[in-house]
Amino acid sequence: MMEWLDTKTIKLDKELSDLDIFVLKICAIIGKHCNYVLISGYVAIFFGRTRTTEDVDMFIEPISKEQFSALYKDLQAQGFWAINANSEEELFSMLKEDKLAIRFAERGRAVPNMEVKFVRDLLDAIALSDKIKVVTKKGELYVSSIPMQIAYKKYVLQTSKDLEDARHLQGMFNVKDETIKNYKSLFKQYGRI
Amino acid sequence: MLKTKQLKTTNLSLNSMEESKLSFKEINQREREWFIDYWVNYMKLHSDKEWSEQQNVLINSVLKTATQLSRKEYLQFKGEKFSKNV
Repeated sequence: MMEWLDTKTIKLDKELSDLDIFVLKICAIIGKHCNYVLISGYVAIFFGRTRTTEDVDMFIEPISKEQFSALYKDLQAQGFWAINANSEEELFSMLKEDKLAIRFAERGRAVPNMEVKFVRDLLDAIALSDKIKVVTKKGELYVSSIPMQIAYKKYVLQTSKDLEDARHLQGMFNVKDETIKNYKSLFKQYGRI
Repeated sequence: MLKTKQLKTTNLSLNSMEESKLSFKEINQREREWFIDYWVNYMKLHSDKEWSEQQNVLINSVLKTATQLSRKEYLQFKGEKFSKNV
């Protein structure tokens, strides 16, 4: 059974899917170079939702061109490539100047991929700082705070898929409606709703 | 194997009067919500190994079929731009 080791750490003894193995592998590399947090659909899937995704969303802290260069070289050395572009300069510009996501997958493939974005504002930064650690059989992952994730899906994204993900997470983690509602003002403040 | 008797599930059964007032879409949504609650209860009553093995059948099979896409095809599918160099 899933077990809270402390307020910020969960132990999960699940059998890892091919998607989980991809995520653990790439997160181990990214985590060496910067702080990251996994957000959105993968969080629900990781905690058991009966659906899948071909792309996994991640925020990273803004890093310098030099730090990005080291990260990109490390990813390439360990069998990953970027889907959007091959040029390091172009990829960094997409992240920093264009505020776009860049995607990494295992070389020769497009799916599954990790969609990486810089944090854009304080709300994204809160997601990064409030992350929780999940310990699995084959390594650790950092995921967004569960109440924040539920609230974002319920009040901001609001598609059927997101509302179902929110229902799943709320049921799994026994999160009270009042806890979720507390995020509404924060989302309003940062223009999400 | 699902241990149905051990599960506390949401009662989906609707009487015919209620059913007649609901659209197909609403009935479908209720069924989907019922399954989410059912699955959450199942997960709580079973080991991580048991529920995840079932979930992985779905995830791994979908990923296998999706890995055929090229980078260009994938980005077109997502409606995203790609570099001329790709």
